[in-house]
Amino acid sequence: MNQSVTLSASANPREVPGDLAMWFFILAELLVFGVFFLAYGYARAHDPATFVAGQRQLALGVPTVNTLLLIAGSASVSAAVRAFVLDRQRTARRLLWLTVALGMGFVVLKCGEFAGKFAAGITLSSDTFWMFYLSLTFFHFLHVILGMVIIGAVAVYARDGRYRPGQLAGVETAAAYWHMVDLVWVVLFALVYVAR
Amino acid sequence: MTMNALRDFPTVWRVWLWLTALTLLAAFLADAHLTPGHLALAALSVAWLKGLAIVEHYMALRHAPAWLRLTVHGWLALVSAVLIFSFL
Repeated sequence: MNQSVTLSASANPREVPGDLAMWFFILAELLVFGVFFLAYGYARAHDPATFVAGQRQLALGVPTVNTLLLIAGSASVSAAVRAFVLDRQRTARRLLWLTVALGMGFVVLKCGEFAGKFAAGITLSSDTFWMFYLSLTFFHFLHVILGMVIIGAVAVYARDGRYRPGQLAGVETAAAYWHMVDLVWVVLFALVYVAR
Repeated sequence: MTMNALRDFPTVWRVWLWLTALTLLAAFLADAHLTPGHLALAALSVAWLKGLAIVEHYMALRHAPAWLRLTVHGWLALVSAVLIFSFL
């Protein structure tokens, strides 16, 4: 690809990045998480003492590192898309695997956090805060795993060189899903861990 | 996406630095002895700023059709605002 020619084009039609069907799926996911967040806010407003007591038992170090891991994953998958645009296939695949590795770091730390809570006898029925904490963070955790599967699948498919400049819908779609997972976590981190 | 992606290439790492700095700021705020209302306002405002950067630069919605861009921004603004309100 001739980058100077590409960059000289000025009139870019507005395009949906990736597959439109995936974007409807992403919007549906955002709606579900949005309802979840608003339910948390409603419940907290009616029983702040229970939520404050629960949040005081949450360490901030691990979730902060997890936030940094997801953000770095978003940066690496964005860089992967741009590397595919430049037809730097090997770099792009490595960046995709880096994203998966960063997601794996999140999963490992999150498993440790869950294990600590279960060891402390915390369950869904402990109180309203822990019900929200466990269900909300576990629901998001599943999305991280799905995101890793999608990014990993794209990295495997990319070995045959199918993602070329102008043929990037698959990788853009996977990236959009990962960014949605990141976006939801940014709100979740602020709401559950920081706003105590 | 092709032309837009190339134009945005250096932005990826600048946005990463911005998001990292905001994350560390949020973690700092958690121990800053603010009132619950002020802490929620600060934390969710920082989250909104981070969300803006993710939506615009990583999701690349600033190059997307207006309906999609506005829908995702609307979700972020509505969730952030209602949650802040719930703490006040």
